[in-house]
Amino acid sequence: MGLATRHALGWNERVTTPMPRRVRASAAPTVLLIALFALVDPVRPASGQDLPPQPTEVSAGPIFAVEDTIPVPSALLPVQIVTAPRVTLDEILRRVAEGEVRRDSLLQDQSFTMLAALTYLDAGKGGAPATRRQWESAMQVYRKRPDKVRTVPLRTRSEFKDDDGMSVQVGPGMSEELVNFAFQPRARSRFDFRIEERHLVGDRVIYVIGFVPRSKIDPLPTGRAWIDTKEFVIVRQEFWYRDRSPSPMFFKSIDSCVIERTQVDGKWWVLSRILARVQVTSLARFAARLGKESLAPTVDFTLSIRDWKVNRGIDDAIFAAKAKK
Amino acid sequence: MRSRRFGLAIACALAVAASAAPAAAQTPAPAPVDSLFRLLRALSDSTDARFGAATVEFDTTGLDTLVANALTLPATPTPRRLRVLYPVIGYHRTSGPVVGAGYRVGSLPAGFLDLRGSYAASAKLGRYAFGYRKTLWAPAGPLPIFQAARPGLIGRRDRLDLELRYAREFMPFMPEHADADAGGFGALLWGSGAQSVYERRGFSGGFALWRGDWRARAGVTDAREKALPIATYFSFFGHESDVAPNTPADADAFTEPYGELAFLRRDWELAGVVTVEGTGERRRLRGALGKAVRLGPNVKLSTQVEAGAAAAAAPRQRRFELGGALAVPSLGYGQGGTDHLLLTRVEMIGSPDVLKALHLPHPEWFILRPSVFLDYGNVWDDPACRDVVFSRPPAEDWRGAAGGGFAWRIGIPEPDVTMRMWMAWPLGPRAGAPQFNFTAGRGFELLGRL
Repeated sequence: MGLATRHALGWNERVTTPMPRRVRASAAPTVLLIALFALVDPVRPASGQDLPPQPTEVSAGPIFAVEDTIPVPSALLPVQIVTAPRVTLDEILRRVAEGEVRRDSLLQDQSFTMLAALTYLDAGKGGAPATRRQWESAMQVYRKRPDKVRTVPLRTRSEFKDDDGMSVQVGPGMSEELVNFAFQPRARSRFDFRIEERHLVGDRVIYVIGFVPRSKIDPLPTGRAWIDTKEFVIVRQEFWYRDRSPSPMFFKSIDSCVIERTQVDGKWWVLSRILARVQVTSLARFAARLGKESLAPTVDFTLSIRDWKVNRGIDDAIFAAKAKK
Repeated sequence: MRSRRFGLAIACALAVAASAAPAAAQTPAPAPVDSLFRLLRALSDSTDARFGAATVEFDTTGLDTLVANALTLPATPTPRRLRVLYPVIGYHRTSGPVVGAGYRVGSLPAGFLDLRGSYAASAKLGRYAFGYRKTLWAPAGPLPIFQAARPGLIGRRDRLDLELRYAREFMPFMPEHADADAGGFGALLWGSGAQSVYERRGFSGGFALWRGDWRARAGVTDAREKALPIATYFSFFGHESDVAPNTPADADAFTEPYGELAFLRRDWELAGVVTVEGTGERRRLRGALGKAVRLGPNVKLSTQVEAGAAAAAAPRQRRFELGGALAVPSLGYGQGGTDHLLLTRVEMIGSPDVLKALHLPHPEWFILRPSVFLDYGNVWDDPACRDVVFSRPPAEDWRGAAGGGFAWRIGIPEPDVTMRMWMAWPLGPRAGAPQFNFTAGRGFELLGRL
C-alpha cells in the first residue's frame, strides 16, 4: 500500500492478511485469484449484510487493527504501520451532520429540471408483471434563499381521471432532509449505526454506514448511506420499511427507496434521483376505487433531477412572475 | 502420473503469475479521479436493474426546448385560498342529536375563518362558533396554506398566530380528560355516556407562539357559563335508567386572562405543559409532564404525571375530576369536583402485531399492538379551604385502575393518532367497576395536542 493511500486512510491500523502463514501457503492459488480480481476491480458493490459489528470506540493510544473490509490485495503488499488516529463511528456521524449543515449553508440559489413519474406494477396475465406509467410530469424549478421558489410545469401525462390525481410540490428548502434525516443530531438517538463497509476509491474513502431503528415501535426506516469522508457528505442512501409501515392504513411496506446524489460544478452535492417501490394496502385500493381511480398493489415512484445550476445568482424578478390561473 | 504432470504445470503457471503480481502491486497505478463517480454509477446501474426500465426511464423528447423556454411559461399557481366544508354531528343527553355544518375559508394574507353552525334537536338550541386565525410571523417564509389554517405543532415551523373566537357551545367538565365526542357514541347506543357538559357563550382572543421546542399562549376570555339540563333519555339499546344525570355547572360571567407554556423534545420523548386560567375565585393552575423510554427494542414505557390546583371557591366547571378514559377509567366521569388533583398514568406498549402472532386472518392495515396501563390518582379539597397550590393529598382518597388492551395506530389526521381498545379493572374497593371502552388519542394523552 503506497504512502498516499496510507494518508488517505488515516487509520491506526496494520494492513495485513488475517490468515496464518501455513494456511496462506496452502491456499496460494485462491489468494492469487482474489488478488488478481481485486486489482482488476478494487471496488466491491455494497452488500455488507454479514459483516461483523465495527468498533465504535478506540483507546487514546496506538492500537492494532486488521483491515478486513477493503478488498485490497493485502497478501501481496508490505506491512505498513499507520499511526494516525482512526476515525470512530461517532466522529463520522458528527462530521456528517456538520457536513450536511455546511452544504446547506453554502447554497444560495438553485435551478433544475425535475422529472417525476408514478408507475403501476401489477401481476398481468399468466403471472407476468405488467407495468403501466400512470403519471409523468416534468417541471423546471427555481429557488432562492430565504424562501423563494418558482415551479414551471413543462408537461404532464396522466392516466388519472381527475386532474388532481397526483402532483409534486417543491418547497424553498435546500437541506434535502430526505437524505440526511437519520444523521441529524436529534434523530441519532433513535437509530443504531454501524460501519458496514469501506471503499477506497481514488483519493477518497467511502464509508457505508447502516442504520436501524432502536425500537420496533417507532415508524422509522432501516437503511444505509454512502458517505464521502473527504467532505463528509452523503452521496447515496437506501432505506426501506419492510417490517413496519410509516402509515399502516395506506402503505403495507416500502420495499426500497433509493436516493442518489451527484456533484455539480465539482463542489455541490445535490439530489439526482429518488426511486421508491411501495406496496399499498387493500384499504388504500378500496379508497381509490371509491374515487373511481385505479391503484395497483405495487407502485413505483421515480424522481429524476437534472440540469442543475447552483449559486449562479438567480434574478428576483423570476419569482415575481405571475402564476397561471 | 499424467495428473501429477498436469498439477506441476499449473503450479509453475501460478508461480510465474505469483512472481509477477507482487511487482505490479508494489507500484499500484493511481486510481483515476473519477473513481467515486464510477462507484456511484455502478450502484446506479444496479438500482436501474432492480427497478426495471419501465420505472426508471423517462421520455425526454422535446424536453430541452421546453426547458430553454421555461421562463416564458406560466408558473404553477400556489394555492392561495382555502375552502373546506365539513359536517358537524354529535349526540349528548343534554342536546339530543346535533346536526350542522362548518366552513373553513381564507387565504394567507387575510387569515382563515372557521364558521360552524349546528342545531341540537332535543334541546331545541342553536349552536355556533366563529373562529379566526392569522399567522402574523413565520421567519422561514409563508406557511403552506393547509398548515396556516390550523394551529401549529411544536418542533415544526416557528410562527406567531393571532387566535380569535366567539362561540356559543357545549363545554365538557375537566376538558383535559374528556372524550373527543363527549361520550356521544356510548350515549346514543347504550345511554352510557356519562360525561357532563355545560354551556359557554363568549369571546376569547390571544396569541400563540411556536418557537423551537416551545409553545406559548396568552390571551383573554370574556364569557358566560350556565348549566344544561337533560334533554333526552333516548338510546338505541339502553334503558332510561342508564342515562346518567348531567352535573350542573355554576352560573358565572367573567373576563379573565389565560396563559400556557408547553415543551416537547421529540428525540427525548419528553413533554410538559403548564396552563394558568383566571384570577381570584376562578384561578386554576394545571401542569402535566410526560416521558417515554424504550425497554428493549419491542416495548415502550410512557409515564405521565398531572397535577392541578384551583381556588377553593372556584365554580364547579373549573374544578378537577377523576374518571373517564384517561384518568382511572374504572371510575365513571365526574368523580371529584375538587380543588386539587394528582394523577399518574403508566402505559406499556409492545411492538408485535397481535393478530399476526396469533395467526388470525386480518387486513394488513389492521395492526393491533398489545398495551397495558396503570392509573393512580387523587382528587381532594384542601382541608382548610385555602387558595394554595400545594396541599397534601389525603391518603385514603387514592384510587387506581389497571387494564390492558390493544393499540391501533391509524395515523389520521396526524401521524401519532392511535385508537385504543381496552378493559380496565379497579384497584381497591372505591375505584369503581370494570370498564370496556374505545378511545382515540396521541402519545401523551394528558398533554393534548402539542
